Amino acid sequence: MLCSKATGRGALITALLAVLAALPAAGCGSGEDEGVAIRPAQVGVAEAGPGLGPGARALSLGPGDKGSPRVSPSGDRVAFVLDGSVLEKPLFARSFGRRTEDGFDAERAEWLSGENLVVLGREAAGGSAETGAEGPIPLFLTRPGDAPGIPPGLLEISEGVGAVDADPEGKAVFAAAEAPLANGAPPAESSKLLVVRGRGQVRFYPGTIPGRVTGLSVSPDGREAVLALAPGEGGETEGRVELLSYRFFPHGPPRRAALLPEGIELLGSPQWTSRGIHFVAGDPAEAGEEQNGFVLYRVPRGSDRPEPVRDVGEGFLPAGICASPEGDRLAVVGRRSPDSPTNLYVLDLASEALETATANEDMEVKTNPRDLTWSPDGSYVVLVARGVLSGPETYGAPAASLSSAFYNLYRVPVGDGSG
Amino acid sequence: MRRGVLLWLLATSAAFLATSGAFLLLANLGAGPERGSDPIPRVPEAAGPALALRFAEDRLGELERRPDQALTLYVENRGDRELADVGVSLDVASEAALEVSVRRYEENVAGLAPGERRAVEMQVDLSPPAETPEAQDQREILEARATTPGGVSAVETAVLVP
Repeated sequence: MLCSKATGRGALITALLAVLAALPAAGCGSGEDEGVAIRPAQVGVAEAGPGLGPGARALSLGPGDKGSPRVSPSGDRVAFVLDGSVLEKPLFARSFGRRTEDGFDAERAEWLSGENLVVLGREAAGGSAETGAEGPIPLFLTRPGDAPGIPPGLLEISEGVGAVDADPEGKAVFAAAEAPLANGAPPAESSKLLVVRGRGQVRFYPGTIPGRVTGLSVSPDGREAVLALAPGEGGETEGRVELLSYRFFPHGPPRRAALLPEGIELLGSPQWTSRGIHFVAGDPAEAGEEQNGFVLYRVPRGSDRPEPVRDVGEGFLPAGICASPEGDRLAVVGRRSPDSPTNLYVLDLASEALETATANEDMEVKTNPRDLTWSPDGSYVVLVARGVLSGPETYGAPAASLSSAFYNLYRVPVGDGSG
Repeated sequence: MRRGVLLWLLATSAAFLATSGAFLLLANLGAGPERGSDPIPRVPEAAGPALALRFAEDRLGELERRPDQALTLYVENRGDRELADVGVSLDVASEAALEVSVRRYEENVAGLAPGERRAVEMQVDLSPPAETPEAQDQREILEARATTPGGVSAVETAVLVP
């Protein structure tokens, strides 16, 4: 009996030891059997994470050249440009709606209330959009479509628009359009500012801007704007980018904020912030040459002298910047040194602290300033990136299900936002 | 005494099992598809690895962006029944022009016994859809599918870099 009992315990212990021995194998069951010619069919996830660090999350999937992401005022939808077409979708859904026809050549789209979008782009001519042209282009309004899959009609708001910016709450989109002069001078010589309200009502502001506006950034309260003018052709502004500040309310004439040295290129739009104007421009040491090094500058309030922003560190190479909805932080895509990976940084303008928001090791991040945007609540930034591939790569899923293989939108939590 | 030792062994094993289980559960949660860095949830594919498809990966690196490129796919019946007719299709597209210029190639594999693997050869045109510098810089997408009339399918995508 005892022996029998002992034998039963022995069997139990043997079974327990067998289970213990089997546990590691069960836990590491994802390992591939090298003897199998074709790996087991994969279900669900077919690729590794995007490589932008913890917290980053893809908002889109599949191939196509994506860019100009914008989060809706409600924070639950995102619009972007895919191969020239404007699409919009719920933040985390796969399905999307088209706001423009195929072949449209959109540059960017900005949200208005009521899920309306203001689109800067060209309509297709003869089946294909006129691509490659630079300079001012038309501005359209598009409302949510009535039928799924059929893009709604476009309503042209203005021709010759060179720059746009939106109020993060969706109350208005501001734009700068060419203003032809009565004396027959080329139309690019002056501009007018206009505002588009929620349902598409357009109002032009009095007065003209003396030059072609290439960049525009509006303060969070919508009372002020910062403008960048294309280099002039004569006089003091010959070959020099000029930055202006403009007051919508109470209305005042444009005032020069800074005049960049001749031959210095401005990258994207200058940004209105609570600590003055911030912009990325070429290094004066490379003036007149091909510019490789760019510098983040600040024009403090009450000053007209740009000064390099030292808070980002010596040797920092900025590319795209975007001011937060409150204007108190600056999202910066750039590199700490020429050999560093491109990452997203957030500069707190009050504390002058620079936070690294991504931990990029194997992603190409788009550095065009318009490929960077904030959520309306300032809790996350959306950028566009794709994985670096050193050679052919295979995935056990359709191309439409892949994210890091192609340029896609990524949401990156910043600061203390929960994301 | 002996009984005490056995009880001690049992208790120790049980405690070890519980701890191991907890750690494994945590590890699986951390590595599972719900990671914060994972993209939006994908639609689950049909269960059952009855059919498998794979590119001849060692030859993908030899492909050039020109017409008449030789490509090999392997299709394998992993089920326990013969598959009478397996259709293999390959869509070739450029990353930035997926919808406007897809080149499709199709082959048929007749009679695939359980456990059998067959090579499918294709001559494909991998030249860029447009002769522009931008087109040359785009990634090329090769999306292969194997399907049977009974609805069994497999998909494999290869991405080629310029």
